[in-house]
Amino acid sequence: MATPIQMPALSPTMTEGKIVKWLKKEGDKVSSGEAIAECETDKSNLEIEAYDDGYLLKIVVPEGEMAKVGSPIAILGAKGEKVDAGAAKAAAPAAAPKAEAPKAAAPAPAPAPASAPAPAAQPAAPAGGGDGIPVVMPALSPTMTEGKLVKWLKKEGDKVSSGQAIAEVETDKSNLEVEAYDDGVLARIVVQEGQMAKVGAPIAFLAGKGGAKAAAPAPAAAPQAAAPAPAPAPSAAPAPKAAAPAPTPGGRLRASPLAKRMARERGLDLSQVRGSGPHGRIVKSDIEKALTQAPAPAAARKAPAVAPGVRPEPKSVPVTTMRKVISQRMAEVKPGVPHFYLSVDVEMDAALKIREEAKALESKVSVNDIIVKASAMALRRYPKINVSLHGDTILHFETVDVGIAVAIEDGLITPIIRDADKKGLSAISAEARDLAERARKRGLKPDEYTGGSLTVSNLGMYGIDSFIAVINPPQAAILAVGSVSDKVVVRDGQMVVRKMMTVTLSGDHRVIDGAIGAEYLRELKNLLEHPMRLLF
Amino acid sequence: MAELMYREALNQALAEEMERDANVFLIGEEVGRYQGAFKVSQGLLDRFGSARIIDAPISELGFTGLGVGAAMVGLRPVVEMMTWNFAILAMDQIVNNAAKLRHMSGGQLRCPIVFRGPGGAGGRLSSQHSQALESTYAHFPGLKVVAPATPADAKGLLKSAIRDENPVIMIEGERLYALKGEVPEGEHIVPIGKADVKREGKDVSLITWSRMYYFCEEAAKQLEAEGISVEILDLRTLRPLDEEAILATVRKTNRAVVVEEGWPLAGVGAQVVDIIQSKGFDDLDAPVVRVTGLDVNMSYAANLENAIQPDAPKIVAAVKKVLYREGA
Repeated sequence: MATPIQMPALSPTMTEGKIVKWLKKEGDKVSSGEAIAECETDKSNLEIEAYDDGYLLKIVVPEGEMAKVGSPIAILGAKGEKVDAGAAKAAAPAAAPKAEAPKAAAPAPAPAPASAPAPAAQPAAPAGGGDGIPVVMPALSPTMTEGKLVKWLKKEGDKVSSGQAIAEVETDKSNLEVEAYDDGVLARIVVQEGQMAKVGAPIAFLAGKGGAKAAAPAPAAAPQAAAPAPAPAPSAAPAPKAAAPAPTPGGRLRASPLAKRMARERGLDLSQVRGSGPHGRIVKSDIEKALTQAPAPAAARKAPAVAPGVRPEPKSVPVTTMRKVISQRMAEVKPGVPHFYLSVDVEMDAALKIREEAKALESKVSVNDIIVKASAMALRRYPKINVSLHGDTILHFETVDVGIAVAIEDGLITPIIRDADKKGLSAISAEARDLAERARKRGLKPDEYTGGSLTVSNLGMYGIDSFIAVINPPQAAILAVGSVSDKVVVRDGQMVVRKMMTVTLSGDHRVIDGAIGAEYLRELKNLLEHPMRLLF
Repeated sequence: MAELMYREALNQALAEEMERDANVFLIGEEVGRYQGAFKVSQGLLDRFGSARIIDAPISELGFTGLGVGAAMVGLRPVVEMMTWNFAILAMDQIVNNAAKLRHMSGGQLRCPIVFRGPGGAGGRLSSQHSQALESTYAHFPGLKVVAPATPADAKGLLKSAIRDENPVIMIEGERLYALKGEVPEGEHIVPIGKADVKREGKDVSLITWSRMYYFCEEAAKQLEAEGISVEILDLRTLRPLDEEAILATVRKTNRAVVVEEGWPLAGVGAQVVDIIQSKGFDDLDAPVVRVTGLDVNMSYAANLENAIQPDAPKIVAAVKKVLYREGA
């Protein structure tokens, strides 16, 4: 009996995949375990295997097209069995994508957050065919649901090759390049610089080698895409609020090409202009009218900022992509993950000595580098902290990857130092500096900030004595590190001054118990107070 | 400046060019003793003799071929078609030989020849004699196509056509021959490929050529009275099209109506619209509207003949449509 072959979930964050190449053709015999197609996921290109023996009766998803996880991509059955494509598509299971890893290839070693908001299910980009080949906004980070087109590296009419960077995109984490997955000509740019697009929505269309023209359909881009980019020019006079826009049938804003161009050039919001043409189409005269009605920007600037007795209104600034994701995730994690907190004071005199000695060797090592190394070694010794809860499963990580929280302009990001337990202090130091610097420039790659085991968040440099950090999911713990300061402590019955630092561990109580956390902290304290142990 | 009829301007151009260059000769039906079916060649037989003003029998394919052969060996023939409707008989010579000789010979042969004659509806001559065939000839690479509206342009373009090293199709307006206008004397050249703004305006552009220009003027006057400022661009040359002039007028007025006598499908006007939408899209404030002849064969009856062709009221209506003033 004909059975569908479904698009497998080839990475933890994959919601859909693109068929890059069919390795079998209709009518071919396939055996269980045999690779039948090559699939592009959100992370890499992997092979799809058949799980049954049979004949490939029908290819449902052609090369170059996307399919949601769990939807049928082909039909397998007995030789000569009849199957119609319509029925095949209808056979799409309503079942949720199975997170089961295929036999073909293991997903990237670093587990991506399961609790991360999955990219909103986008209507798959329009099929190739006569519309050209869509270049879709890729999911460049596990939490990315939309991205801002920062810069086009190619212009319409340019030739592009598969693998070539064609645009720069700002995700919630960093700026990354979007690559073309096909050869062709960049026929049409759908999402302009400065505009947002949802993951999976077409941002451009390629005319393929066959010369398929890109009569691109309207983009399924984010609603912001229609609005002109905020114009920094002072001439960007706000549209007069009085002229309420005419209701447009279907909500579509109709404007002549000229009106659109004028609005774009003068920073006018078309949605605030009433159109006088047929069906409310906005024309040149409407724009001219709107511009003359708008308050003169120069005059507005000369006017006193605040009239006496009037309190200024708060300035509203749209949230950045990164801030949006941070706010969503923090709102999810705090009520969603039951936290417990453990604090301990650590004597840092010995650790600081190491730092001094390193300085003498012209090697720059920060207190934070020492903490990263110590926390990693403690993790190695107390692997019960090195876990992550995914539904009904606890992942026990085999590697120790420590995240370091880096504050950047729009928020924060936690680049990962992989195998921090095995690395020397100078290696950790160099890596941390490089990652932090690139994080500030939004230059990190996804694998540099996903999949850590534990995060070190240090606010010591701000003079904070101690604080409590919120867990960075799907990790199960975070270390909040305060400043190192001289404190009077009692040693052997005597009051002495020591360099003290308070470390607070926030743990996910669903997978870590207080006692485990306490053991871990004890080990950490021990390592930091006797840094010689870091060598063993 | 002398005021001449369109036919007189053409006659002057022919005479001046024959005077200037002994290689120029005229061949066609009734061009000699009868002085031209439309009297374009009046007086030329007496002036230049029967070796250069050659009466041909009714044999379009034959005498057109003779002209093409003469051009190949260095003469500069002007082949008069009694009307462009009859030139269909000579299509093979025009399209397969004249248009392609330079290409087929790898540049070794030139074909400096002018094919000229009246086109368009002539006034109750019915369908076989009333065709505006500009787009047919403009379709072929290797041919240049000009279609002057005024006596001055007729003279200037014919002189350019005769001096051109390539075959030039000159479609004269059959109903324009008696029309008068000022024509510069002597060396008056209108370059091929240059359109002319015949009327300056700011609200809408009428893009047209040949006889339709006069309907556009009539419409513009009516519209002006209603406060609508109309610019008229006379293309004059249909191949090559003056893209810059077309885009410039659209940049100025942001709205365009293209008026042509021929049929709508694959008309020259369709090409003009393509240029506007593909290269001047951001300057458009409304979709371009075309006014063309109706998509039917020309009627004999005068009232139907008029109904089939564009006229001033149709152009006025089209202008109001692009200005979103329908029913205004």
